[in-house]
Formats: sequence, C-alpha cells, structure tokens
Amino acid sequence: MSTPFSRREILQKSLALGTLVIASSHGPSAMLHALEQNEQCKPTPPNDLGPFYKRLAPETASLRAPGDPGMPLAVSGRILNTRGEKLSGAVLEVWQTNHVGHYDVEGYRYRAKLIADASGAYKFDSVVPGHYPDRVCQHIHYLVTAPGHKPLVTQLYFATDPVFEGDPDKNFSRDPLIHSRELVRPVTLAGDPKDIIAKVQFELCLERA
Amino acid sequence: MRRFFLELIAVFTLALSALAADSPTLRQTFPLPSGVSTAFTAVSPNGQRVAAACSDAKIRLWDIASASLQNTLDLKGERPNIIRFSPDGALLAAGGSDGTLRVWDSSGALRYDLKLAAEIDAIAFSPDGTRIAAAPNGLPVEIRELGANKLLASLPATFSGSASLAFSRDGRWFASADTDTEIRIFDARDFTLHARITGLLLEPLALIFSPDGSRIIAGGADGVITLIETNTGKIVKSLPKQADVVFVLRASPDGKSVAASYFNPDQMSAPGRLLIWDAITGSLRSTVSTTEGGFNDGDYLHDGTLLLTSSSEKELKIWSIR
Repeated sequence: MSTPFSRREILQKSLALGTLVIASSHGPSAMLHALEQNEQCKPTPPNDLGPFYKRLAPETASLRAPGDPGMPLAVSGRILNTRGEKLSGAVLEVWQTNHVGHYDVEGYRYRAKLIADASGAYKFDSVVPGHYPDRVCQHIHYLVTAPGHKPLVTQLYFATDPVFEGDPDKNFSRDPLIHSRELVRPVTLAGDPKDIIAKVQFELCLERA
Repeated sequence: MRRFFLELIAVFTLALSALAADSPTLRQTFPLPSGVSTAFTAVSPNGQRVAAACSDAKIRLWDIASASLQNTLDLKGERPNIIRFSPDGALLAAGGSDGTLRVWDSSGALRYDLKLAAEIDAIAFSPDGTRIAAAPNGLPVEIRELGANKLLASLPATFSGSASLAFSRDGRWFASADTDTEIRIFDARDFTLHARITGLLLEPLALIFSPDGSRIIAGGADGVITLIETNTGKIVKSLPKQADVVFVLRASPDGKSVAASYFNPDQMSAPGRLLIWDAITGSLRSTVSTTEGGFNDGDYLHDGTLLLTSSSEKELKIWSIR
C-alpha cells in the first residue's frame, strides 16, 4: 500500500480515525510463485500504487535539482525476472514526496521514467522523501514494466526510517501498509561529512506473464 | 481524552452549520454504539435502508424512515472494503479484504459466498440485480452472474486494478475507474470495450453514471470532477479543481446536482468537505464539512432534498439540502 490512497487505503485511514480495528491485509499472491522450482530470483512483493501516480513522467535520472533541500539520495539496482535474466529496456516509473512529505500533483517534481540499461541496471538521484502527516514511513513508489512480464507496482522503504528504531526486522509492520520486510532496504552514507549522500540499492524481480 | 475533545468540536461545528443560512441543515442522526465508527456506508436505491460497515467488523442496517436498526451482520473480524445494495434494495453485497464476495438477502440470510483471488476494491450490481461486478486488487474486473455463479467476463486494466465500478441504470453501459488512470466504458450486454478515456493524468477514485446514463461523472486524485459523454467517451465538462482528492460521488435523482466528498491528500485526519455541485452549470451550490477526516460515503434520499452522509464521526447524518 502506499501513501494515502487507493480508495481502499482512504477507507482504512478513515476507519483508523474513528476508533478500533484495522486488520492487516493479506500477503501478496506473488509470493507463492517464489516457491516454484527453477526460479533463481524471488518476485519482488507488490505494494499498492497509491493515488499519486501520474502518467507521462519525464525521462530523467535526476529527480533532485541543484539546491533542493533535504538529504541527497542515490538509488540504484537491477531489474531481473524470476529466471535471473537481466531485463534490459525495462521501464521504471518512480515517484515520491519531497523532503517534507509533499507530492507534486500539479507538475512532475520527484517523478521520473527510467529505462534499464543493457545489464538491467537503473539508477537515479533524489532526496530522501519526507514523512507526511498520515503516512507512517518514508517511501518511493515504483511501477516496473517489461515485455513478457507482469507489471510490478511496489514501494521502497528505508531501514534508517526513525519509525523502525534501528530494527526494521522487528518493527517494519509498524507501518500497516508494509506487508513485506524485503521492501525495507539498507541505507549507506557516503561522501565527506559536508556532503553526505544516502545510498540505497533496490533490485526488482518481475514475474513472467 | 481525545474522543472527548472531538465531541466538543463536533458540537461547535453543528452549531455553526445551523447558523449559516445557505448551508445544508442537519435533520436527523443515526447514533452508533459507543466506540464504533463507520468505515463507509451504502444507501439502498429506493432510499429505504442504509447499511454501514462499522469499525467493529459488523454491518449495521437501518430503516431510514423509522431510524430503527433492523439487522446486524457479524463479519467475525473480517474487514470489508465496500458494500452495495442491489437496485431493488433486496440484496446487500460486501467485498472483503480477504477476497470474499458475500451477498445477503433482506432477512440477513447469506445467499452467496464467493472467494476471489485478491482483496476486493469495488463492486457494482447490474440494474436487474442478476449480475455483479467486482474488482479484485491488481487483477481484472470480474463480471459474475449471481444465480449460476458463472464468470461472464474478465476486464483487465494495464496494471493495479480498478477503484470504482458502475452500471448505467438502463443496463446499457458498464464503466470502470482504473488505477492506471484510465476510465474504460464497456457495452454491458457483451462487455466489449466501447471507449477508453485516457485524458486523466492522475488516478480516478470515484465513478458514477448520471441517472439517464448519458454521462459518466468521475473524480479522483487530481481534485477535479470530470463529466464524460457515455456514447462518445468525450470529456464534456470539468468542474472547478479543488485542493483535495475526490473520493465519493453521488448524483441527485433528477441528475441536476452532484454531491462529492473530498479528502485532504496530505492529512487524512483533516476535516473533509462535501460539495454539492450544479451538474448542469458546474457552479457550487453548497458545502457541508466534517470535524475530522472526510465523508466516507453517503447518498441522496427520496427526491434529492435529503442527503445522508457517513464519516468517521460517531453517527450517520441526514441533511436537508434545499
């Protein structure tokens, strides 16, 4: 699930405002396929699209403009399928809030389309997304498509998110929208102390259609 | 303590809304048991009953005229995502977070209990009540014949499924608001694709037909309500953009006004608004506000002079809007 909302997410949030209960959602069916034999790569768990997906994002690897406030972030990874084949030419769309948790709905700030290179690799520069009032964890949305494969809609979370208090294994479910620990990725810090960059690797594995 | 504070706000808000001359006036409330709130509701098309999916995993049904609680369906901890009445008001369907699609008759007896492959985001009854459409998350919309429990059609979106489904009242059309941002219009006789509306850049969350079926009214993450000509699939009007996302849409019985619930996209707990638009001119007729969170559902009653609303507040409300 994402930042507010699919319609269902809005309902969940709305319900949470009232009182009581919120049963966590079921696990993704894609996980079942990981049990199949002959698969070298477990499909990346899906996570909801959210209402802030916007079509026609510009093709760019630089989501961060010069002078943008917030912790600089470099994300990289590869797109594979369950056979471990590198999906050259896979198309990624990524979108996130700015450093204070606001989505650009009018324009395309912090939204981009990326094409995986010959080795299935992708990378982009951004800032660490902010928390926003009614969403527990920082996250980046992904939509990945490749011919012959099922589209993957998921989200990347950060192990350094203060919500996890240093222990994402134990605390990842504090965000009821995170169904899978493996979407929470380690963060390393690089660069000199005056110019620190957070780095995250996120490999994505698509199921064949 | 927090609840006490919210109650105080609610009292102040009601007092203020009663003072505003052109605002809808509160006419009746349906109190909920202590500690229980509604997740969403459904009003039967004949305006006789309202069903509320409640935070204690129960669906409560009231007779609207007598304001009496008629039935309580215990879902035993399961969380439904949507409930809808059949057009004749006799059946109530619920789409569940575990993929169950259940249909009860008016006595509360369970008539159908199906299991789909993913949690259900939207459902819609055909006008004759014989078919039901359901949108499992991330999967194609399923059209099912209820009597024979037969899958009649499977309607895929590009990715991620559908947020809202509707049949036109004349049974001619079926439409889906899809999370890939498209609206798709199908011929409801054979479910062939009639038109795709690709002009929206952000996700449509709510979709209804005008009472005469000539228009589709859709709204979503862009804060805009879009009127689409059903026959051609062309966008004929867009109502003034709001900062908040459109979450619920209802058309008045005469088709002349549209009620729309808006949520603040950055802060779900912020007060929400229900705006009543003139569907012909596109001008704003009136506004109702909540104290916390948006209106999660509601509908016009009778001749359209009354509006029932539900929110995360502790009661359902009926407003007099003219």
